[in-house]
Amino acid sequence: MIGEESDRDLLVRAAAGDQEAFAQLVRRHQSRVLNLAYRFSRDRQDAEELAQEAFFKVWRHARSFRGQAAFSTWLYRLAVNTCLNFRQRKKTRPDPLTLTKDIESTAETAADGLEARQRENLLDRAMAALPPRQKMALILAGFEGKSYEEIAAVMEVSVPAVESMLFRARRNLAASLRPLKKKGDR
Amino acid sequence: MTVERKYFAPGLSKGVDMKMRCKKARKNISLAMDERLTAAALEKLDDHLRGCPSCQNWNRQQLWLRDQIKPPEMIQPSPWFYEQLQNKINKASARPRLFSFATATWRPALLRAAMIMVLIFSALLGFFLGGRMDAPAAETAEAVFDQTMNLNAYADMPADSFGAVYDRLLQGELQ
Repeated sequence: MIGEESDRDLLVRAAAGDQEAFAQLVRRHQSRVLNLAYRFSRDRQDAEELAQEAFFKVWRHARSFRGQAAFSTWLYRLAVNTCLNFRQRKKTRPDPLTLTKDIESTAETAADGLEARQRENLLDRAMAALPPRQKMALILAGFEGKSYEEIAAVMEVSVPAVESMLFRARRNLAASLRPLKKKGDR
Repeated sequence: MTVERKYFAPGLSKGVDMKMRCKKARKNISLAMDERLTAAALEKLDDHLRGCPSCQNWNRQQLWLRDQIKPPEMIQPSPWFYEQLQNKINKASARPRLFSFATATWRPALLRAAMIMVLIFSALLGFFLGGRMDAPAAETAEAVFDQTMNLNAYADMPADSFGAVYDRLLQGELQ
Protein backbone atom coordinates (compact mmCIF):
# COMPACT_ATOMS: atom_id res chain seq x y z
CA MET A 1 0.00 0.00 0.00
CA ILE A 2 1.36 3.39 -0.92
CA GLY A 3 1.41 5.81 2.01
CA GLU A 4 -0.12 9.25 1.79
CA GLU A 5 2.26 11.86 0.48
CA SER A 6 3.36 14.37 3.12
CA ASP A 7 2.28 18.00 2.98
CA ARG A 8 5.86 19.05 2.46
CA ASP A 9 6.31 16.77 -0.55
CA LEU A 10 3.09 18.03 -2.04
CA LEU A 11 4.20 21.61 -1.49
CA VAL A 12 7.53 20.96 -3.17
CA ARG A 13 5.70 19.53 -6.16
CA ALA A 14 3.22 22.42 -6.14
CA ALA A 15 6.12 24.89 -6.07
CA ALA A 16 7.50 23.20 -9.17
CA GLY A 17 4.18 23.82 -10.91
CA ASP A 18 2.38 20.54 -10.25
CA GLN A 19 -1.28 21.58 -10.16
CA GLU A 20 -2.50 18.19 -9.01
CA ALA A 21 -0.23 18.32 -5.96
CA PHE A 22 -1.56 21.77 -5.13
CA ALA A 23 -5.15 20.62 -5.56
CA GLN A 24 -4.47 17.72 -3.22
CA LEU A 25 -2.99 20.08 -0.65
CA VAL A 26 -6.04 22.32 -0.86
CA ARG A 27 -8.45 19.40 -0.56
CA ARG A 28 -6.58 18.16 2.48
CA HIS A 29 -6.70 21.45 4.40
CA GLN A 30 -9.58 23.45 2.94
CA SER A 31 -12.08 22.51 5.61
CA ARG A 32 -9.86 23.55 8.50
CA VAL A 33 -8.84 26.83 6.90
CA LEU A 34 -12.39 27.59 5.85
CA ASN A 35 -13.77 26.97 9.33
CA LEU A 36 -11.07 29.06 10.96
CA ALA A 37 -12.02 31.90 8.63
CA TYR A 38 -15.71 31.29 9.31
CA ARG A 39 -15.18 31.40 13.07
CA PHE A 40 -13.40 34.68 12.61
CA SER A 41 -15.70 36.36 10.10
CA ARG A 42 -19.00 34.61 10.92
CA ASP A 43 -19.90 35.05 7.29
CA ARG A 44 -19.87 32.18 4.85
CA GLN A 45 -19.00 34.24 1.82
CA ASP A 46 -16.22 36.13 3.58
CA ALA A 47 -14.91 32.85 4.95
CA GLU A 48 -14.68 31.34 1.46
CA GLU A 49 -12.92 34.42 0.18
CA LEU A 50 -10.48 34.37 3.09
CA ALA A 51 -9.74 30.68 2.71
CA GLN A 52 -9.14 31.11 -1.01
CA GLU A 53 -6.82 34.03 -0.34
CA ALA A 54 -4.89 31.95 2.21
CA PHE A 55 -4.42 29.14 -0.33
CA PHE A 56 -3.52 31.67 -2.99
CA LYS A 57 -0.72 32.82 -0.69
CA VAL A 58 0.36 29.21 -0.25
CA TRP A 59 0.65 28.89 -4.01
CA ARG A 60 2.48 32.19 -4.33
CA HIS A 61 4.95 31.61 -1.50
CA ALA A 62 5.38 27.87 -1.90
CA ARG A 63 8.98 28.33 -2.97
CA SER A 64 9.82 30.37 0.10
CA PHE A 65 8.69 27.64 2.51
CA ARG A 66 11.91 26.57 4.19
CA GLY A 67 10.41 23.81 6.29
CA GLN A 68 11.57 25.30 9.59
CA ALA A 69 8.00 25.08 10.91
CA ALA A 70 5.43 22.40 10.19
CA PHE A 71 3.39 22.99 7.06
CA SER A 72 0.20 23.23 9.14
CA THR A 73 1.74 26.01 11.29
CA TRP A 74 2.80 27.87 8.17
CA LEU A 75 -0.62 27.46 6.62
CA TYR A 76 -2.31 28.63 9.82
CA ARG A 77 -0.01 31.64 9.92
CA LEU A 78 -0.97 32.59 6.39
CA ALA A 79 -4.65 32.06 7.16
CA VAL A 80 -4.49 34.05 10.42
CA ASN A 81 -2.68 36.95 8.75
CA THR A 82 -5.17 36.91 5.90
CA CYS A 83 -8.04 37.09 8.41
CA LEU A 84 -6.44 39.90 10.39
CA ASN A 85 -5.69 41.94 7.26
CA PHE A 86 -9.15 41.32 5.86
CA ARG A 87 -10.64 42.55 9.10
CA GLN A 88 -8.60 45.73 8.88
CA ARG A 89 -9.71 46.25 5.29
CA LYS A 90 -13.37 45.83 6.06
CA LYS A 91 -13.37 47.85 9.26
CA THR A 92 -16.74 46.50 10.27
CA ARG A 93 -16.02 46.50 13.96
CA PRO A 94 -19.18 47.52 15.75
CA ASP A 95 -19.05 50.31 18.28
CA PRO A 96 -18.72 48.70 21.73
CA LEU A 97 -20.94 51.39 23.26
CA THR A 98 -23.74 50.60 20.84
CA LEU A 99 -23.32 46.95 21.60
CA THR A 100 -23.66 47.48 25.35
CA LYS A 101 -26.72 49.60 24.77
CA ASP A 102 -28.22 46.89 22.56
CA ILE A 103 -27.61 44.25 25.17
CA GLU A 104 -29.20 46.37 27.88
CA SER A 105 -32.28 47.15 25.84
CA THR A 106 -32.67 43.56 24.65
CA ALA A 107 -32.21 42.20 28.13
CA GLU A 108 -34.80 44.65 29.49
CA THR A 109 -37.44 44.08 26.84
CA ALA A 110 -37.13 40.32 26.97
CA ALA A 111 -36.99 40.03 30.73
CA ASP A 112 -39.48 37.14 30.76
CA GLY A 113 -37.31 34.93 28.65
CA LEU A 114 -34.53 35.96 26.39
CA GLU A 115 -34.66 34.04 23.15
CA ALA A 116 -31.72 31.73 22.72
CA ARG A 117 -31.21 33.06 19.24
CA GLN A 118 -31.08 36.65 20.41
CA ARG A 119 -28.59 35.75 23.09
CA GLU A 120 -26.48 33.98 20.51
CA ASN A 121 -26.55 37.04 18.28
CA LEU A 122 -25.46 39.26 21.10
CA LEU A 123 -22.62 36.93 21.94
CA ASP A 124 -21.61 36.92 18.30
CA ARG A 125 -21.61 40.69 18.28
CA ALA A 126 -19.59 40.84 21.46
CA MET A 127 -17.03 38.56 19.84
CA ALA A 128 -17.05 40.69 16.71
CA ALA A 129 -16.42 43.79 18.82
CA LEU A 130 -13.18 42.39 20.17
CA PRO A 131 -9.92 43.68 18.71
CA PRO A 132 -9.01 41.28 15.85
CA ARG A 133 -5.87 39.85 17.44
CA GLN A 134 -7.59 39.17 20.75
CA LYS A 135 -10.46 37.55 18.94
CA MET A 136 -8.13 35.39 16.89
CA ALA A 137 -6.26 34.26 20.01
CA LEU A 138 -9.56 33.34 21.65
CA ILE A 139 -10.69 31.38 18.59
CA LEU A 140 -7.39 29.50 18.36
CA ALA A 141 -7.38 28.66 22.08
CA GLY A 142 -11.07 28.02 22.62
CA PHE A 143 -12.37 26.65 19.34
CA GLU A 144 -9.34 25.29 17.53
CA GLY A 145 -7.82 23.70 20.64
CA LYS A 146 -4.38 25.16 20.00
CA SER A 147 -1.83 25.33 22.80
CA TYR A 148 -0.34 28.67 23.81
CA GLU A 149 2.91 27.68 22.13
CA GLU A 150 1.11 26.90 18.88
CA ILE A 151 -0.81 30.17 19.04
CA ALA A 152 2.45 32.02 19.65
CA ALA A 153 4.01 30.36 16.61
CA VAL A 154 1.01 31.03 14.39
CA MET A 155 0.56 34.65 15.49
CA GLU A 156 4.31 35.28 15.63
CA VAL A 157 4.30 36.54 19.21
CA SER A 158 5.70 35.28 22.52
CA VAL A 159 3.82 32.96 24.89
CA PRO A 160 3.40 35.71 27.53
CA ALA A 161 1.90 37.89 24.78
CA VAL A 162 -0.62 35.12 24.07
CA GLU A 163 -1.49 34.91 27.79
CA SER A 164 -1.98 38.64 27.86
CA MET A 165 -4.09 38.68 24.67
CA LEU A 166 -6.38 35.95 26.01
CA PHE A 167 -6.78 37.66 29.36
CA ARG A 168 -7.64 40.97 27.71
CA ALA A 169 -10.05 39.25 25.31
CA ARG A 170 -11.90 37.60 28.20
CA ARG A 171 -11.94 40.82 30.18
CA ASN A 172 -13.32 42.79 27.22
CA LEU A 173 -15.89 40.14 26.50
CA ALA A 174 -17.03 40.11 30.13
CA ALA A 175 -17.30 43.90 30.09
CA SER A 176 -19.38 43.85 26.89
CA LEU A 177 -21.71 41.16 28.16
CA ARG A 178 -22.07 42.30 31.77
CA PRO A 179 -25.62 43.63 31.31
CA LEU A 180 -26.69 40.37 29.68
CA LYS A 181 -25.13 38.36 32.47
CA LYS A 182 -26.90 40.43 35.14
CA LYS A 183 -30.26 39.86 33.48
CA GLY A 184 -29.48 36.20 33.00
CA ASP A 185 -28.73 35.76 36.70
CA ARG A 186 -32.22 36.68 37.77
CA MET B 1 -11.62 21.15 26.58
CA THR B 2 -12.70 20.46 30.16
CA VAL B 3 -11.27 22.30 33.09
CA GLU B 4 -11.14 21.00 36.63
CA ARG B 5 -13.44 23.32 38.50
CA LYS B 6 -12.54 22.54 42.07
CA TYR B 7 -10.44 25.66 42.46
CA PHE B 8 -13.31 27.78 41.25
CA ALA B 9 -15.37 26.71 44.26
CA PRO B 10 -13.31 28.08 47.12
CA GLY B 11 -13.19 26.33 50.44
CA LEU B 12 -10.48 23.73 50.25
CA SER B 13 -7.36 25.47 51.45
CA LYS B 14 -6.40 26.41 54.96
CA GLY B 15 -5.30 30.06 54.96
CA VAL B 16 -6.63 32.97 52.96
CA ASP B 17 -4.00 34.38 50.63
CA MET B 18 -4.86 38.00 50.15
CA LYS B 19 -1.31 38.83 49.15
CA MET B 20 -2.11 37.90 45.59
CA ARG B 21 -3.43 41.01 43.96
CA CYS B 22 -6.73 40.90 42.12
CA LYS B 23 -5.24 41.71 38.71
CA LYS B 24 -2.83 38.83 39.00
CA ALA B 25 -5.59 36.57 40.29
CA ARG B 26 -7.75 37.39 37.28
CA LYS B 27 -4.91 36.72 34.91
CA ASN B 28 -4.44 33.40 36.65
CA ILE B 29 -8.14 32.60 36.28
CA SER B 30 -7.71 33.07 32.55
CA LEU B 31 -4.68 30.77 32.60
CA ALA B 32 -6.53 28.21 34.73
CA MET B 33 -9.32 28.08 32.17
CA ASP B 34 -6.77 26.87 29.65
CA GLU B 35 -5.12 24.53 32.15
CA ARG B 36 -1.94 26.56 32.22
CA LEU B 37 -1.48 26.90 35.98
CA THR B 38 0.70 24.71 38.14
CA ALA B 39 -0.78 22.99 41.20
CA ALA B 40 0.94 25.46 43.51
CA ALA B 41 -0.37 28.45 41.56
CA LEU B 42 -3.85 26.93 41.56
CA GLU B 43 -3.73 26.57 45.29
CA LYS B 44 -2.69 30.20 45.70
CA LEU B 45 -5.50 31.26 43.40
CA ASP B 46 -7.94 29.21 45.41
CA ASP B 47 -6.75 30.90 48.59
CA HIS B 48 -7.19 34.31 47.06
CA LEU B 49 -10.64 33.51 45.72
CA ARG B 50 -11.91 32.41 49.13
CA GLY B 51 -11.13 35.81 50.57
CA CYS B 52 -12.05 38.01 47.60
CA PRO B 53 -15.74 38.25 46.62
CA SER B 54 -14.90 40.50 43.68
CA CYS B 55 -12.62 37.89 42.12
CA GLN B 56 -15.14 35.16 42.90
CA ASN B 57 -17.65 37.14 40.91
CA TRP B 58 -15.15 37.59 38.09
CA ASN B 59 -14.50 33.88 38.14
CA ARG B 60 -18.20 33.05 37.92
CA GLN B 61 -18.56 35.50 35.06
CA GLN B 62 -15.71 33.89 33.13
CA LEU B 63 -17.17 30.40 33.63
CA TRP B 64 -20.53 31.63 32.45
CA LEU B 65 -18.91 33.19 29.41
CA ARG B 66 -17.05 30.03 28.56
CA ASP B 67 -20.29 28.07 28.68
CA GLN B 68 -22.11 30.62 26.54
CA ILE B 69 -19.64 31.07 23.74
CA LYS B 70 -19.75 28.17 21.38
CA PRO B 71 -18.09 27.87 18.01
CA PRO B 72 -20.41 28.24 15.04
CA GLU B 73 -21.40 25.05 13.28
CA MET B 74 -18.83 23.63 10.88
CA ILE B 75 -19.29 24.53 7.26
CA GLN B 76 -18.20 22.74 4.12
CA PRO B 77 -16.47 24.41 1.17
CA SER B 78 -18.76 25.22 -1.70
CA PRO B 79 -18.44 23.00 -4.80
CA TRP B 80 -16.81 25.84 -6.72
CA PHE B 81 -14.24 26.60 -4.00
CA TYR B 82 -11.25 25.19 -5.85
CA GLU B 83 -12.43 26.46 -9.19
CA GLN B 84 -12.58 30.03 -7.89
CA LEU B 85 -9.16 29.62 -6.31
CA GLN B 86 -7.81 28.35 -9.61
CA ASN B 87 -9.27 31.37 -11.37
CA LYS B 88 -7.49 33.68 -8.96
CA ILE B 89 -4.24 31.86 -9.57
CA ASN B 90 -4.68 31.96 -13.33
CA LYS B 91 -5.48 35.65 -13.23
CA ALA B 92 -2.37 36.33 -11.14
CA SER B 93 -0.23 34.22 -13.47
CA ALA B 94 -1.47 36.12 -16.49
CA ARG B 95 -0.52 39.46 -14.96
CA PRO B 96 2.86 40.61 -16.35
CA ARG B 97 5.52 40.35 -13.70
CA LEU B 98 8.78 42.14 -13.19
CA PHE B 99 11.50 40.27 -15.11
CA SER B 100 8.89 38.04 -16.70
CA PHE B 101 11.45 37.14 -19.38
CA ALA B 102 13.58 35.38 -16.75
CA THR B 103 12.94 32.00 -15.24
CA ALA B 104 11.70 31.84 -11.68
CA THR B 105 15.09 30.82 -10.34
CA TRP B 106 16.84 33.82 -11.91
CA ARG B 107 14.21 36.36 -10.94
CA PRO B 108 15.43 37.04 -7.37
CA ALA B 109 19.03 37.36 -8.58
CA LEU B 110 17.99 39.81 -11.29
CA LEU B 111 15.96 41.81 -8.83
CA ARG B 112 18.96 42.06 -6.52
CA ALA B 113 21.23 43.06 -9.40
CA ALA B 114 18.77 45.78 -10.41
CA MET B 115 18.69 47.12 -6.89
CA ILE B 116 22.50 47.21 -6.71
CA MET B 117 22.63 49.07 -10.03
CA VAL B 118 20.15 51.64 -8.78
CA LEU B 119 22.29 52.13 -5.67
CA ILE B 120 25.48 52.56 -7.72
CA PHE B 121 23.76 55.00 -10.06
CA SER B 122 22.47 57.01 -7.09
CA ALA B 123 25.94 57.11 -5.53
CA LEU B 124 27.54 58.30 -8.80
CA LEU B 125 24.85 60.89 -9.32
CA GLY B 126 25.39 62.14 -5.79
CA PHE B 127 29.14 62.28 -6.34
CA PHE B 128 28.93 64.34 -9.54
CA LEU B 129 26.15 66.64 -8.46
CA GLY B 130 27.68 67.08 -5.02
CA GLY B 131 30.89 68.51 -6.56
CA ARG B 132 28.98 71.37 -8.08
CA MET B 133 27.37 72.36 -4.85
CA ASP B 134 30.56 72.22 -2.77
CA ALA B 135 32.17 75.37 -1.35
CA PRO B 136 34.90 76.73 -3.68
CA ALA B 137 38.18 74.87 -3.50
CA ALA B 138 41.15 76.55 -1.76
CA GLU B 139 42.70 78.01 -4.92
CA THR B 140 39.33 79.22 -6.17
CA ALA B 141 38.71 80.91 -2.84
CA GLU B 142 42.08 82.66 -3.05
CA ALA B 143 41.27 83.98 -6.49
CA VAL B 144 37.91 85.24 -5.31
CA PHE B 145 39.59 86.96 -2.39
CA ASP B 146 42.19 88.60 -4.64
CA GLN B 147 39.49 89.81 -6.94
CA THR B 148 37.28 91.29 -4.29
CA MET B 149 39.94 92.57 -1.89
CA ASN B 150 42.58 93.60 -4.44
CA LEU B 151 44.24 96.73 -3.16
CA ASN B 152 45.75 97.47 -6.62
CA ALA B 153 42.38 97.55 -8.33
CA TYR B 154 42.66 101.35 -8.77
CA ALA B 155 46.26 101.33 -9.98
CA ASP B 156 45.39 102.13 -13.62
CA MET B 157 43.10 104.99 -12.75
CA PRO B 158 44.01 108.68 -13.33
CA ALA B 159 46.13 110.00 -10.45
CA ASP B 160 43.53 112.49 -9.32
CA SER B 161 40.51 110.25 -9.63
CA PHE B 162 38.56 109.47 -6.54
CA GLY B 163 39.45 105.80 -6.77
CA ALA B 164 43.19 106.51 -7.06
CA VAL B 165 43.14 108.97 -4.17
CA TYR B 166 41.27 106.46 -2.08
CA ASP B 167 43.78 103.79 -3.06
CA ARG B 168 46.73 105.97 -2.08
CA LEU B 169 44.97 106.77 1.16
CA LEU B 170 44.65 103.08 1.88
CA GLN B 171 48.29 102.45 0.99
CA GLY B 172 49.33 105.13 3.44
CA GLU B 173 50.88 107.38 0.80
CA LEU B 174 48.66 110.26 1.73
CA GLN B 175 48.59 111.58 5.23
